[in-house]
Amino acid sequence: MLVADEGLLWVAYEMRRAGELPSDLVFKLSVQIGTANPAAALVMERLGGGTLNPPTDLSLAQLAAIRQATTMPLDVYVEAPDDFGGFVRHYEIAELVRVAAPIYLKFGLRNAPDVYPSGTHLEPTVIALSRERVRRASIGLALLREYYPEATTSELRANGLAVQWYQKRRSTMAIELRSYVGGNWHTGTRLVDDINPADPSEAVAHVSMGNSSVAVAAVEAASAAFADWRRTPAPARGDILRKAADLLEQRADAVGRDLTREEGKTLVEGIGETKRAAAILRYYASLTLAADGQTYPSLSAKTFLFARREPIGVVTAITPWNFPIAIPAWKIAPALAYGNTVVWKPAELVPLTALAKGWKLGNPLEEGTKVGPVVSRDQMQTVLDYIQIGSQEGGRVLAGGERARDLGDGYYVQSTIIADLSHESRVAREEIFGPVTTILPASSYEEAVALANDTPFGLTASLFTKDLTKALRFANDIRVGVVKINQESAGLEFQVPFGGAKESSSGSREQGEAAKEFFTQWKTVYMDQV
Amino acid sequence: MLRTRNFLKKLGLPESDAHSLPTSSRRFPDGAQYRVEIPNVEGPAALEAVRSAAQEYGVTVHRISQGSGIMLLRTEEIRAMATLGYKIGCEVSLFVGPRAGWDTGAQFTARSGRNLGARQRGMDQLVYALEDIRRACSLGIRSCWWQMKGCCGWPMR
Repeated sequence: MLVADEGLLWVAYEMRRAGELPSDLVFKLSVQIGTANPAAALVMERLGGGTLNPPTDLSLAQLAAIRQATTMPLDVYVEAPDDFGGFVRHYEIAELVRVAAPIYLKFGLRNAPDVYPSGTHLEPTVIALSRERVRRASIGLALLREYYPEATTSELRANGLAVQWYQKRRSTMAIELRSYVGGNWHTGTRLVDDINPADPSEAVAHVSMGNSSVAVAAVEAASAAFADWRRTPAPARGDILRKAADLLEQRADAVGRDLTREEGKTLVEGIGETKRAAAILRYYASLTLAADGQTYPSLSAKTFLFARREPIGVVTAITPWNFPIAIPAWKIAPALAYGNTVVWKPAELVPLTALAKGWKLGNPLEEGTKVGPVVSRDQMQTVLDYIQIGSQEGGRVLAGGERARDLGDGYYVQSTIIADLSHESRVAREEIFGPVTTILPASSYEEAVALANDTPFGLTASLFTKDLTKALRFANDIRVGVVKINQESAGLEFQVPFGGAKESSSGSREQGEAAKEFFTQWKTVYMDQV
Repeated sequence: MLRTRNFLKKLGLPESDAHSLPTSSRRFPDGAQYRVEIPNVEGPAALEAVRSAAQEYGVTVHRISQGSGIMLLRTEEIRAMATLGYKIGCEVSLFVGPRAGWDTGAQFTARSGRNLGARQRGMDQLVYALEDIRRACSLGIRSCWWQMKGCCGWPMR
């Protein structure tokens, strides 16, 4: 008798264990034939059942025996519809509760079979029957109170995981996100949850995903706004950026906390990144007072010749999840400061940061945590896949190497160090975006630099040394956009150019005054006296 | 028979039905002995009817269950049920679909086959059922219901 549906239970149970389904999902089993005895009930409990719905017509002695075998709450009809056998237990409720607790008392209608599939044409019937079931329940419960007055029941809102989960979800949900276009909020066609990677049962927000029509509307709105914004004096644009910086800084703790909840970065990093974004806004506000052009001597005595930088037009910023507020700031702030209008498409996700053996892995909101979860379940699987690839390629895992299951359902991966890999291995060459690092030994400075340069990428590199000569040599030899000496390779200041070499960049630079090159274009003016 | 009963006892099972009807010492986590469920609440309008009737009759309803199946509810309906369930503190339990009735088999329509109607038939249907669970979870539901063999009056009325 045990066939497909037991398979469903088992697979769903395994999916819940693997984090594919929420850990607080309750499985309620209705086993009208299969689980009519204690042994079968025990099997079902071991398969992950949360509530057991045994046959409606078992005797009290049989139910009492099942109760001895399993801790699952039972779910028993005290008045079952005709197609269940029409069993009525109203006068047995007191004994049922006494011997079978914990128990859900289920009130069907003996003379009105359940109606499903339903549908709008049946809705009045379903509504009427639902009301009648509650009325019958009031009769049954009155009998229970009369014959077993000391029976205890639950208060509402303490009645199960579903409600607890929903309360948690609602209490922590700050906002419902939509697309803001031309001063109005736009709803997309698809609603997704913005999940806390440290606690996947928590939705940080509901996000109404923008679609192509929202994107078109955004570009049109930005185009329409461009003429006025371009005409706005640059210092006035700077005032607006400065005001935005002030607001962001005032809210840095809250914004940083939200950043940590949706991305998994530690709280210190989340707040720090938010303050960095405010500083970036201020920096570009200050540049609105800088010279925006230059004059040239003309070959003609009557010509006043000058050239100035002008905005390009509408800028679209598509930003990644790894620095969800700093990176948008260092693109949007100069774009606006120099007179462009902006359409910003933020990342659906948001990131993960550094990792090192011995660093504390844990809840990113807790003090002392050095490494939080990775940004999403998919990313966690990607990281684990890379670790497996590393092992298959001959790597030796010196530390970590697995999902950190002792931290609940969060998307935590142990900080992982892999040795014995070739520099041509995928783990060594590709960007993993997870707490995984490889050790590649080199017998000389020259070999180390050759290894580091033997990659199609070249964003940042760092060298730890007390040898000033080596440091200067390294800064010269390494083919990257940013060199760090005695600093980790992440972490950037905003007043200097930033960008990568080789395939890590389009060739341009942003941040600092380099942003002016990116977000403006030259206009040369010849003006003759008449 | 005694030998068999003793073996079952070693497995941690009762040796017989509990004819003495002992009082259960087990409880819900909050200490309660019983909770109340109203079945066949097929949609947000029916749930609203349960809510108002519960208020009228002074009944505390801890859980409602729905039998048509997640896949026969629209996204807005599921969200509405989850939201109303949250507001009134009532667990919302949805049935998983699709089931045998959507498949090609005729056995469940036979008199002796009615109880088979709630099965998942074949691997594809198992996959569909798991996707049904995922969908409900994504919309705020945390209580899913399926039958192992039985049939809660599942055929259309």
